[in-house]
Amino acid sequence: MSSAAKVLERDGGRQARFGRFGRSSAGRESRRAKALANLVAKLVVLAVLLGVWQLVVKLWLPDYLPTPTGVVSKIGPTLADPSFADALGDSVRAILLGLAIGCAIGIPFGVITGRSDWLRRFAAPYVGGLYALPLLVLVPTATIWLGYSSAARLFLIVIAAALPCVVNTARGAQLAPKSLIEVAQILGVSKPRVLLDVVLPATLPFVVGGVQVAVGRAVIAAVSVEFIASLKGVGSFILVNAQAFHQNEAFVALLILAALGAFGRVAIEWLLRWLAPWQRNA
Amino acid sequence: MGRNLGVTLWRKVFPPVLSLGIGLAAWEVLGRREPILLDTPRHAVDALVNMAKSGTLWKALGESGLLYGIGLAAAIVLGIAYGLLLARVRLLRDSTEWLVYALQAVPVVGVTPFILAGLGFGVGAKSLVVFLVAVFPILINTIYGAHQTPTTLLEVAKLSRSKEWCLWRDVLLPHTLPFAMAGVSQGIAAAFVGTIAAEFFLNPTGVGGILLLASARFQSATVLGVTILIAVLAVAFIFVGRILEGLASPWRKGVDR
Repeated sequence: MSSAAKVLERDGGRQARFGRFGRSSAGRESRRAKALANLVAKLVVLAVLLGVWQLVVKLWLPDYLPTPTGVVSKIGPTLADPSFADALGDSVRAILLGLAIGCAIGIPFGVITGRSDWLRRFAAPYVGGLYALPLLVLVPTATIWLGYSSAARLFLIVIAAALPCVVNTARGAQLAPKSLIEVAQILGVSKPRVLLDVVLPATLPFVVGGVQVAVGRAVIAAVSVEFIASLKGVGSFILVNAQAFHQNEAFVALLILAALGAFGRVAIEWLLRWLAPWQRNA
Repeated sequence: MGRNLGVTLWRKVFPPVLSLGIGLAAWEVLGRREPILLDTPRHAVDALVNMAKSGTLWKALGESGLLYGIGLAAAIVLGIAYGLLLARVRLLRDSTEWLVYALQAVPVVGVTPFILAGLGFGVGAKSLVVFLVAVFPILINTIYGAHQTPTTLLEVAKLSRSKEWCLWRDVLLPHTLPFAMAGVSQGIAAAFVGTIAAEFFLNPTGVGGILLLASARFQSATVLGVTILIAVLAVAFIFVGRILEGLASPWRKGVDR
């Protein structure tokens, strides 16, 4: 094929991808064929990866590692296992409670520090330091203060959740449109109402971004404390089963944990659409 | 001028200094009341100084630094390379890009028991943890950057019969580099998290090991001292990342941040 033909072909593909041109029925058909080819390519890659994983574990690695077939065979039993449900329930309850407390502290704090430069600088050493700090580092301190208990887990989840909320909300509040605030001030709207009716709605997408980060961090915080403090929960379920040659069950739990985190982030985006439909493109 | 300086000091320097002072004072008061749970700032500093004198601190920093270096270097090289490859090889992009996003959702902390079981707790296994934590921000930012390369430029380059490597040098790399560096900047911070995770969950060595062992022995002075040392290091890493990011894209300064 000449290079000019290659260019044409690639261009056609690009246009189909971006949907700018090629609205003809032939274009639509070739797009459908392309979508099918994409799907096949994805499935092939997935199959190859799973096959390699299975082979590598069978041939070279110790047989107490999870394999794809083993994991699939254990999905049903693990989900039906009451001790797993129990552990999952414990973790999820702690994560949700911690997220709620963390947001309840973090979002108002973020709005305030976002609107006041002085307060923001006052809080900066702690907010910046704690936000930069790998959260794991706080686990030893938390266990010294609160013992190897669910209180330590909750404490860490709250910190993990609150900080991204503070940082993001503050940024959003800082960037709230000045013109709107000035108009409100000229119209004699009181300060708290400006905060509530102008700043807060403009800040919402940032808040949502913060909460999304918070979900991931909260899950990691919960698992970390459960690992170190051997507290009942998904984390210790993974750890105990991985050490007790129930590696496939442990892996199922890990996958469910990942799925829960992803679901949490998507759910929060739905929440934003519902709370602030005008922000769809933010 | 003098008044301006005073105002700047009052507005910018005074607040953090004041809050740090209040924090230190509160710590001192609480530390005297509850010396077991929360040793005083002075003892925390003493604990650090003693470790520095005996050499344990430097040895630990060296151990942590090794993991950090290996994991981060691998994450940067492989993350950027694969991200750029995805930008140019369409088949690879269509077939594996979704996997990157799916794998990113798996919390690496939860993977550590399997790494421990399969690979043990040597430097390699621990560096793998660091790598896994650091590679995703780098890879995802690079992919995003490559997507931002203007299609028009790629087409013009193709029409002018640009050679593949010229296309990389003149179009793809300059457009992707700023995003890749934003990823590296996040990776620099993430790799540190990974280092601590590896030291906590595989076997206690390095700075994380000191922290874990001290907390098991209830030595709150050591725990607090090392925690603050790690916080300072973490802030420094973020700072270094920002500088690198700025160097890679001076023209973006003030545009989107």
